[in-house]
Amino acid sequence: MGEIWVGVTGFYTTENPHPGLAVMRALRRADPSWRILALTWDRLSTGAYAEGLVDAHAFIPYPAAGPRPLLKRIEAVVAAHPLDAVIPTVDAELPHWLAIRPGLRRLGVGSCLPTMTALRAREKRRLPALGRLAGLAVPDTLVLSTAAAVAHAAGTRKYPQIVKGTVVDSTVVHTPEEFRVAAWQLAAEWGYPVLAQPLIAGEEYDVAGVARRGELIEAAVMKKLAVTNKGTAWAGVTVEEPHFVALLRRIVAELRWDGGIEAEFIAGADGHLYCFEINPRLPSWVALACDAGVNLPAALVQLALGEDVEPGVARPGRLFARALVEHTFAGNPLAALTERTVRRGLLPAAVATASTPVVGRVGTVAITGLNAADNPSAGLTVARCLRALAPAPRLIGLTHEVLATGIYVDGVWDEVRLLPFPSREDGGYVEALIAQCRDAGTDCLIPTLDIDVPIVAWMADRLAAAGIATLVPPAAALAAAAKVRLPEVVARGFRVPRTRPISGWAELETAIDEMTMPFVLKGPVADAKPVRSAEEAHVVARRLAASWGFPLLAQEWIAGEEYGVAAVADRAHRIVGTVVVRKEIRSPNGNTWGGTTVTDRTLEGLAASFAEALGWIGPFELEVIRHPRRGPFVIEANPRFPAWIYLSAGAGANLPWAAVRLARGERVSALRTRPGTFYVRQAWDMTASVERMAALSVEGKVGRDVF
Amino acid sequence: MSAPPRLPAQVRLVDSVRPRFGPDRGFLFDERSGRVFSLNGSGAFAAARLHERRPIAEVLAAMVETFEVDEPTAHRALTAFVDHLLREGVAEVIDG
Repeated sequence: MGEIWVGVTGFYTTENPHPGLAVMRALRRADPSWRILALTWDRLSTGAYAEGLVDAHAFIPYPAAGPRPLLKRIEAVVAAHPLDAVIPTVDAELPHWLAIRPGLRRLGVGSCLPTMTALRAREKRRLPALGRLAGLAVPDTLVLSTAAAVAHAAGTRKYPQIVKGTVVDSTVVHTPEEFRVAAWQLAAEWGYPVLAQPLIAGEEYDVAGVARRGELIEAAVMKKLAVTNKGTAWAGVTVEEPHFVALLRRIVAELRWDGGIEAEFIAGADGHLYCFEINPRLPSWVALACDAGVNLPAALVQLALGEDVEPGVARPGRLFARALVEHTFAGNPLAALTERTVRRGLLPAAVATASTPVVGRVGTVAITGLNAADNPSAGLTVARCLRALAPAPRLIGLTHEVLATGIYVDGVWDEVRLLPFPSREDGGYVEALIAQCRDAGTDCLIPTLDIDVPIVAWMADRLAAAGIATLVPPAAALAAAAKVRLPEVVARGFRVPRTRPISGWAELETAIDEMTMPFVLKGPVADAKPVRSAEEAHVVARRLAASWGFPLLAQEWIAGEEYGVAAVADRAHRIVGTVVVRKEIRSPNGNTWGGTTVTDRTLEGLAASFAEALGWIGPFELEVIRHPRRGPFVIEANPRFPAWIYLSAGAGANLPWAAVRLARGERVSALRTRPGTFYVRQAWDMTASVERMAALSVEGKVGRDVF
Repeated sequence: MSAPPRLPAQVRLVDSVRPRFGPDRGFLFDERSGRVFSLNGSGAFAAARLHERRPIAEVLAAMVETFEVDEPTAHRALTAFVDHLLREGVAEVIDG
């Protein structure tokens, strides 16, 4: 047999990542000679830009198109290119892949998929019935098929509840108003029915496996250690809990399951194990299972090709921490891909080198803000910019928490050190920060958290006395750029959306009356959400106030193209480098996952004016929306590097290195950014032994020996 | 006045626990449940001795000496700590 080509789907590798990227990693690890064809819906699929994993690309239709166009496309792919097996990984497309299975067989494309009956029997709304058959405890599930049913149920449920979309997505709600708004949002996104379950307090476990004709062959059990606000696991650890494997065995036997499967459980505080979801495919954390000894995607390929698979269960104590990692290219490498073609080798040729040659001293740089989770801080990407220097400085990561996911990225840090939280009651943060920096031999500190920047600015003299250089704005500039005061920059010639502060519930009502829908509600420090109705405004305001307190801000909605402008100002408030990115890939949560650098004199001028007008020193980011008629509006000014700053290294203007040199008092020539440099961000699961977390927790630092 | 809560004579960490101890902190990972526990200095001190299968009386005496506290105070702290480990299933009584 010649080369084996495996088609993989599911590359929206964002906050709630599709499993395609993790599946490709496992396949590459199983057999490097296997070739991978990424069957992607579009150029917004950030996982499809995984250089080193994807050998060829082809577009396939969106699930909404149905099975017939999918089969037609696969026929065209097979006519042009080898394809031996497929692993579909997205819930919404699975019925279509099942429907075209006879066609796949005819084309000689192997698959290992469940029957349509089995697929339907594990749907969320049918889970209680399956639970009764398989002897599983399942949360009480209410199926709501109309808006009227939602309105009625909202008044009768016992809170908190979890409201779920029929395919994916969920929201925890605490009041009838939240219930109605969440159900409305989910129905708008996914259609009816929506489901409601009581929120069960407890610890969550996921069990993934591969089954053949109702027999479980391989399995891995993962305990969630950290989740996003949507409940998606963002860190977890494999465990040795045979009971969960036994439960999955019962499920696959009852369903006569074929293929990949994942069951999600809560070990309730009442002592019961509740199965609250069964997903008909491999999970996005499947790279962890592979790392722990069971390569589930490889098993699917073997089964699809008619081979035998040895049974196995994942070993305990392997950790995953999901970090957001950027890749840069000289232009969008998928621009050459069309709906009719299959293209090999698109990625390697387009990679933009971030390497920056350096002459002279590189020293030791400490960086804060290592959490690279779904709403990432910039620490990891600043470090990756500095790691791209040749030679690179020693890099010291400073973290407040052992599960900050950027800690676990290999090849970046020389050391990671644990700091107390700045807010801890017994104080000592300043002393601990200086002591850790000195102990690590640090000569420069780059803060990347909003909360760290004013502290570092306040203690800059003490840091300087300890031999630690910084480049931070003065207190007055920081105050002027704060969200609540940003509208005042209008007086200095900037265009800012109409903004109304809300210091209490009465003012929220006034804002709702005065603002045109939709408008944006913002927290005082972070977080923003568009609202389209008074009821939604109440729900969002309550959430923001609970997280951040008052004042909130009501801001005019500006339609237009979005840009990020990152810049570094020297001590004379002059800009030494600006990178302007046009935001092109957005997730449903509104976060940016990809974009392209542009030359835009207006936006570069905006950054220069901002630094001069506010007396700024150091890095900052302006978030800008360009209205097609009214021009650019500054919607946010952040007093630190943005999390996408790795793009600056790929675009030839390494802004973090400029900041380090300016902090040390060196002269920096104006940097030039290469326009057209494209970046994507992927949610990538770092895997490690749990010993790394233990070492950081106990010794307060980890070094090169564990990275 | 009620009698002080009784401590078992000997307690050990269960086999599924992977411990790590330092002078100021400790860490327990239960590979069966996946639960992790961060310990402060005195917790790490006591857990390390339980892991070495020292009798409770010996652990108590060592705590009194090392942390320069009176025995009732150390007894209360150790009782609460051991009770917590037992409730969480990461320790078991081997001689009650």
